[in-house]
Amino acid sequence: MQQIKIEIKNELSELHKMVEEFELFAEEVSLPLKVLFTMNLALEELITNVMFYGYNDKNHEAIELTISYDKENNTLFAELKDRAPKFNPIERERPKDLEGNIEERNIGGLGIHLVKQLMDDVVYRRENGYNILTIRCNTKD
Amino acid sequence: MILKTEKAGKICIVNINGRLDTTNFKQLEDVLEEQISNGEKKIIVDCSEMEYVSSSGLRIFLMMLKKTNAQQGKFVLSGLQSHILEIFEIAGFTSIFKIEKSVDEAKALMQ
Repeated sequence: MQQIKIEIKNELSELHKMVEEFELFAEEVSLPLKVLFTMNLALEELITNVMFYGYNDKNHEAIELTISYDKENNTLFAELKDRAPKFNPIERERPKDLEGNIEERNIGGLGIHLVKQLMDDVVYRRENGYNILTIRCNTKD
Repeated sequence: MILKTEKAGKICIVNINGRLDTTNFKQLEDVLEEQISNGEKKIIVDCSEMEYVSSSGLRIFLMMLKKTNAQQGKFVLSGLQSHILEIFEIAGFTSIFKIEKSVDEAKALMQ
């Protein structure tokens, strides 16, 4: 199992740092490009969700991200840990307006919808004052 | 991300090069907003060099589609790479957007 830990401060610019470090890791472990893209997207959606709705302007807070690659079992995991108030993003229902016509579309919840569709598993738990989200992605088609 | 805007007759073409994400979607919003408020009614967004898009970028596309529709204009996307097209499908966007393979095909649709 190969692993990388990244601490993400509560600032949007930290997304660049996350992407850079994840890309380096992906290169080291020869992660398929498609998986890098998908995981990157899921992480951006979940991280910005915590920044916008969980932490608001609490600048001193951070998100702890751990990405683990189990190459033998073709599985990539990511765990996101934050200290924001209890919030389970996966309880949000699928946006009802995905099928509506253009005028009816309003895309709240789209980010979480993408995460659920792109990942093979998304699990939330609340533990010792932390929101912990674990996402899993198969790396083989 | 680099944005380039060019005119071809009455058509305005905006090319997105790189990653469109939560840190820079506002740039695209500003460029398209400016074109629309300048009265541009035929807009093509060339996505052939767009490597990445997240929901913040998708939100801008939807917003601009609504705005051009409200002005009886046309908003067409072109050249989406396959991994990007997949995101559009999951978002339910392929049924509401006009998506063409190339800028030329998108232009033909504008006539």
